[in-house]
Amino acid sequence: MHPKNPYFIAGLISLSCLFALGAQAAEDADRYRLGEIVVSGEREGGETSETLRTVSAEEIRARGARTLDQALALLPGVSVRVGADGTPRIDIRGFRTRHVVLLLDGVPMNSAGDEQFDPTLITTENIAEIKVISGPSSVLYGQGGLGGVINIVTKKGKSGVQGMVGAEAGDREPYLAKGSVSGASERVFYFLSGQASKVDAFPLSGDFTPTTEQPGGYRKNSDRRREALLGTVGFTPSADLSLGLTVNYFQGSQGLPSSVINDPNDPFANPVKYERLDGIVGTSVQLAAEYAATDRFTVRGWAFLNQSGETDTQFDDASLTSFNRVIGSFQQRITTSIRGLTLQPSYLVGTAGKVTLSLASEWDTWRNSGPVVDSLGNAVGSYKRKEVSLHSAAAEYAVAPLPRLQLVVGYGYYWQLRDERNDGDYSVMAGASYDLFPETRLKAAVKRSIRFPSLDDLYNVSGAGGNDLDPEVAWTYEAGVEQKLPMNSRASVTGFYTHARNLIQKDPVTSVATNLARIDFTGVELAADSAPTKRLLLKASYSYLDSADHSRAGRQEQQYTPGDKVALEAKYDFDCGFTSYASFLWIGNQYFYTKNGSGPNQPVLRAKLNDYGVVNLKLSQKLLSDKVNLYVGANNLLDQNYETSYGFPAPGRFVYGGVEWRL
Amino acid sequence: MRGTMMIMLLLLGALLIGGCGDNQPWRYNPGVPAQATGLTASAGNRQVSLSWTATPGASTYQVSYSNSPSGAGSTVIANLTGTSTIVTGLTNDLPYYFAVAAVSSSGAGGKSDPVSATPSAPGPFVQADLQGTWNFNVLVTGANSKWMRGIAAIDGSGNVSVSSFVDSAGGTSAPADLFGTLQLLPDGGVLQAGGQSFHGALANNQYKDLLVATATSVAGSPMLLIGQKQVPGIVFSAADIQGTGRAVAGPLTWVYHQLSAGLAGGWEYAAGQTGKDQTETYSAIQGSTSRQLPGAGNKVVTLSITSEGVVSEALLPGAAPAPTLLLDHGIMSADKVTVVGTATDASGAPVLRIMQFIHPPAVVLTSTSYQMTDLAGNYAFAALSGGSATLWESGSFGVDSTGTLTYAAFLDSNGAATLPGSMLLMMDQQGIVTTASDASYNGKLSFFKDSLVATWTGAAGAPYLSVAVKR
Repeated sequence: MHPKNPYFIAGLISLSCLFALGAQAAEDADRYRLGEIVVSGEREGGETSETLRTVSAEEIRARGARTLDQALALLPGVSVRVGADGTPRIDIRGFRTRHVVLLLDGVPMNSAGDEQFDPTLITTENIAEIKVISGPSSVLYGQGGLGGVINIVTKKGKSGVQGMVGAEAGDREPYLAKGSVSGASERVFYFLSGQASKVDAFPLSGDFTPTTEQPGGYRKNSDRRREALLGTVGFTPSADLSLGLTVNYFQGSQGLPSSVINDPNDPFANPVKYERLDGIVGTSVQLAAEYAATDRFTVRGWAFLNQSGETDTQFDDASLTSFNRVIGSFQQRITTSIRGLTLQPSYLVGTAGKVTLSLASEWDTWRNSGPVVDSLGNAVGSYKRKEVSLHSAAAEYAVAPLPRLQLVVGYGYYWQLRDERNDGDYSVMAGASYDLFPETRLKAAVKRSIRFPSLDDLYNVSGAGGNDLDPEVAWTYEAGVEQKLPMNSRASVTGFYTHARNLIQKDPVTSVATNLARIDFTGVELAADSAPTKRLLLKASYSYLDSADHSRAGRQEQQYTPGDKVALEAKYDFDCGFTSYASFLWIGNQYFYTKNGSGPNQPVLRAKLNDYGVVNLKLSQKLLSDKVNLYVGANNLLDQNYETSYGFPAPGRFVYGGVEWRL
Repeated sequence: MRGTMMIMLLLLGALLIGGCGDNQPWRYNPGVPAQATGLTASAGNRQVSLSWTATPGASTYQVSYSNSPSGAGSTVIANLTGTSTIVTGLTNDLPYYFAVAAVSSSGAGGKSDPVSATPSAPGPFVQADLQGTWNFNVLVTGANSKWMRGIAAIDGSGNVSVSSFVDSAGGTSAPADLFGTLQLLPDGGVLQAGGQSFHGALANNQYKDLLVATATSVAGSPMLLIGQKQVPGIVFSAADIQGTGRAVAGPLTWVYHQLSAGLAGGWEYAAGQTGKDQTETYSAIQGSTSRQLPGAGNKVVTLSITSEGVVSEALLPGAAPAPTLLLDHGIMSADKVTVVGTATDASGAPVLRIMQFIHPPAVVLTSTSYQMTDLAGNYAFAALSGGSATLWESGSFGVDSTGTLTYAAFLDSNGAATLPGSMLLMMDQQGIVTTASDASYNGKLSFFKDSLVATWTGAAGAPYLSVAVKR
């Protein structure tokens, strides 16, 4: 347990009393629903018992979010941190990125290697909405989502032709160009979008104290380049049949800034590394179809292919010009591919509910080639290719036995077939929601989730893989209340408890991946939003998370897991087309530990990351009958000097401006 | 308007909450290290060797010393990595008082309790100088060529017991005739009871830890033996084989001499350097036959060392051309400037290699580091030839201040005792010794001036390796 700052609790309560909540209705007309694995209306089906939060396209624009991590950072229970690998990682309720399933129109975007994903590769101009399920989720999503599921639904063309072009520049950001064109006719719709961006370096806070590794000003080796294209085409040949094709392509490169601390006597610091990712490229293609055979029986299916690759180079020194001379340096080309097929028939049993079956197969391949210099000066792991296949059979039954009661139960069995052995385990979920009053909904859910070991867990190229790993298991129990309030306001409170075991981590003695960890998470999430007028939108949330790490001696909680999170947002649209938006994010009570294997005689040491608050501001002005939108913004307006991982400073104040023109 | 008020409230609240507190991330502060402990001092000729116990949290150490017990007027040697150092340039017969302090980013901790030592010139040899645990490397040439190495203990009476043995043929039992009871003469000569062919000499250096000897095996094969005594308290680390970068003394430069046995045997002399990353780059190579420069001037080999001083080499992946020999078990001497090892080269020939560092890693070479007066002195030598007509040679010679080498005694395995003629030696500022009378002669005086290693091509094209120790 860790002490909470009563100052914040009091402030939060006083602020939250000012807010009332209003519902934000979703419009399906502009959303590509064909790729969604679980489709249901807002007030029906299995999703009513889940903790489901959505981020709409309008909210993404208001926040100035360019990538997925920026779009989700303010959600309750979601934590975004950047560590030694230079990539923002999205954690949900304490579970790490590899325990979060990311779907882009139903295509899994988690890497076949380590099951993580890079949220900066998901650009936002084509996103209609992001649905984040924290905790228990439908069994139809398959194995893996111990922490939750992030479901990105892209835009669909509306009738006529629409388009948008935009350009933005910022501090050491030479350009960000984006554009989209979409349209629809009676039977066909399309949406095409693209974005190209370049960042030379991100600015450090003016309060940053220079070190031997990092001078003040701008972060070394923090450049980033991205180009992305997304296209969706849909065809409805008849009222019963819908077809869709989604193609996604991205490429880029980026530097991975090293720790700013170069002190071998600092037991908390990561070793300084000079690393880059180049040749990042990815392609995904999905064919989806939905056929309503009868008014009760519908079959959905999709096939997808997701391939990606990157060249990871760890250089000898800060000049980033050579490798293969210093022990530990390497250059490796890593490519992964995921191919999958899913068939999902569902049957409406009238008032007796809906049964949905899911049969899915997935083949994951991971290739890793290139020399690694070991302690004897020898190259190891010059080439490795590994495959696993995953298969699942799941069934979900959702019913409303009473007018205000919704129940859902689901069971799924999953198989992982690999070289050494075949594995199987089950998942089960039950949820209920009850509208106690028209304005009050009670909900509860319980789920047993599993996650098979990833290819990296099993066959790590440095020899740290454990071939005989068992699946990870988590039981999650949650209950909550949603309350509609006057003045178009809404509030919710959700409490949860998760017991996770067999979590795969490196054994501190052998450094081999082992089913080691047992961690319990307990938390509460309070959220409120209000749209008292059509011009004003207010949001507030508070998340509390307690983690108990029973795995290793000397550890109390899971490190880098915020105990307290406060998020506030306000947006106001003036009559003259001027919009002001501000957000405030506060993270507190986050702890970290010295590395595993720091020595048998060295005790584990615990330290606390400084609490921090970050303010973002965006001002925009519509012109020319709303066809043009000019905007300026500042992220980290107060230039807070903070870290989300020890020794890795976060960006300081970043000022940007741009223009969008709607065709 | 109400919306604007809300946003202002939000910003004010954020400024109040977010702006409070320290805007500097937490950093680990080890604090000032504890007082250093475990300092020991061992006196030598104009120098004192120091070692101490590692202090937790220390990033470097600093040694202070003076002639006064109170420490007044102390000289400070700072930024020492590792837990030992040799303080040179001292005056013999004058007591010195030493203390060490551990240093971290927060400052220096308390000085250790002082220890004193009085450097002095080396005295005469006594039998007890042989007592101890010795690493030995032996090269046997001729028809039964092989290398042998291992560990032997010599007691106070000169009795030898071999505790560890291996040879190039895979044998693990030492030949019964390898060692008998050894007798140390007052002049440093070493004889073996019952072994009339055994002729050895102990170096008159700081630790008296270098023994060279020639002998004839029972099978009639000549052999050269190098013994290195294990000195208690000397601990080896990677810092002993690393260059120190431009800011200190630069790369660790070295030369080696080696002799390969067998009918096609030859000598080899090479020079190179080792960087901070413990990788070696060859700069020159010569031999009794022509050789390719390993690595073609690029980094080619990685050097490693254990805490017991066992040195090994490994080829860097992709480096070419590869050296014909990689040391897998060299022994570093207690003074940390010499490595002796045996191995089998790429053609299958047994080889004895002696590697010498031009200077210790953190010592900057100056124009006075090697002077002709350092080369002058009396030496006992042991030499071995390879090729088709193999023999050993043993004896003594003197070198005067002009570099003239004059033999005082000579004997070879064939019984010849005629003294070879004199020759004029020249030495450069790195201790490399040459002679105008023989272009094939390549020698190296050790940094501590106690041994001279050389290779050359002798009569009938026979390759020679010689190790001479100062008396």
